[in-house]
Amino acid sequence: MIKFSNVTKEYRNTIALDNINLELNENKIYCLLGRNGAGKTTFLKLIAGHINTTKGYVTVSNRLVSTFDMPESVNFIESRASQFNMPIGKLLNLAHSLNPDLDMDFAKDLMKKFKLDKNKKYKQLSFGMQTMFTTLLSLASRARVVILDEPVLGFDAIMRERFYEMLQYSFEYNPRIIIVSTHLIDEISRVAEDIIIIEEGSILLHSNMNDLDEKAYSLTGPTSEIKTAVKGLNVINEKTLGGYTTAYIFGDRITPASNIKLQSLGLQEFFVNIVGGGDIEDEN
Amino acid sequence: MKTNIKSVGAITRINFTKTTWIGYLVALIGALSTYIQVLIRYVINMPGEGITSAENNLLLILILSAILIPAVNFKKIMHLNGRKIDFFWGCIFNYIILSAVLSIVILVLNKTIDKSMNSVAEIWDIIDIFGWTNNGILLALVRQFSFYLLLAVTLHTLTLIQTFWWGWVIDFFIASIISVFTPIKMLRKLLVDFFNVIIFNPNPLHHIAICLTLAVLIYSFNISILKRKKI
Repeated sequence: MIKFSNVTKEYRNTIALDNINLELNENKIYCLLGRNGAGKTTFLKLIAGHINTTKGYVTVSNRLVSTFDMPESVNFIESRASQFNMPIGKLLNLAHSLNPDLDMDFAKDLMKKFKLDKNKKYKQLSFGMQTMFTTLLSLASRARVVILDEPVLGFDAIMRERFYEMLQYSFEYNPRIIIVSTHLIDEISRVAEDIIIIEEGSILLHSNMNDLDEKAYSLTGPTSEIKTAVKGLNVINEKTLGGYTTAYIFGDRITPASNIKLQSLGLQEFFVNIVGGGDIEDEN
Repeated sequence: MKTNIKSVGAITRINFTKTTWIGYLVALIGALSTYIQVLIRYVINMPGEGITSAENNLLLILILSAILIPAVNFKKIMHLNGRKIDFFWGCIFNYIILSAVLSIVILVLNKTIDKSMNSVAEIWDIIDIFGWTNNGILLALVRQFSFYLLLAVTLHTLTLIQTFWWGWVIDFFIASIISVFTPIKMLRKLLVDFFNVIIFNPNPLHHIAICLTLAVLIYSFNISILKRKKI
């Protein structure tokens, strides 16, 4: 459904995305991870046709995407985008007029669920509630691809819980491609099925979450023994302290010697090590 | 690109109510200040020089709308997943309606309040100065409508292209034409002829035809601009 073919995006002298090749076909919740400035928002904007590529092309449902031809099957509302300052009930009606496909029952249901007061003006809402509202508009769209850029920004813990419920509920109600860009890694791992990591404009990893659980682990033990144990393994990072080394691995699991401790990595730990460490080969 | 009538209507409505209120406010303040000046002259019984008509200020609604709609509303509409083609049609309805309403209001005020204030001060109204009222009410209405529409779509288009490098080149080109043509007699004549055709044209039908044709040509250029415009 979504295909990036040799896509490069440059802003003057900065390369935001560098020769990206990627396909997203299945209806899943995809988690897009990357450090600030890694190229996540550029990646998302290219799918929505908000900007054009410098080289290569993006297609959605086999149609070339550009500012010339923004795909109607993609819904992308930037969380920090400015909106008309009007009661959010009216803003919802306006969004419905602009997109008659918007599922108003679902949207109203979500507004009730998340206690969004329809009479409150958009700018009277807290930043978190504004984000919740724009996220709700995206999820209520019947678009085949929904893009959520930092949807939990400004949310407290309870709101985040509600958001993940809403995301799960929306996906079950209407299965499609949902791409969520976030910094709260461990939380999204509960709902996302695939993970895409972007680092310095390149796709560092595109993997299934289950594969990641299986393949991401660490080995801790005496430095000399770790050096021997990791030979031939895909080491993404290493930390040494007082004669002991922890090696972070992405690949098939081994059965280590008795004095080496093997531990599975959480997504956050994996992410920190992979973007802080070296490159790994894409497993997909 | 297919157009959605409901979406076009929503864009026209939102353009009339959001952001453009600044234009209504500025026009109202301008008009009120003119009426206050006339009232003061009347009270102190001091008829002086001429005074610009209050309804000239109403054109600020059109001018500011044509700048604010593409500068502010465009992005907000796109951020609600509005479609560019619907924005294209929604805006032209705004300018058609605004031009028509302003033409009627300005003409009515010209024939009523301005005439009654002439005893206090000479009222300078652009529609008289441009000679648009010389050929009867109906032609005065259509001449105003045509020119206001041309003015609105030109400002709208110029504002919309400001995010492109070539938009600035066009600005520079227009400024250059005016500054180079003005001091050189032969070129100045070209400039004068151009303004004679689109503003001071003695032939009302010619004037209307030229303004409407230019408006259509300039606005159709917007399809290409919108297709290239980033969000």
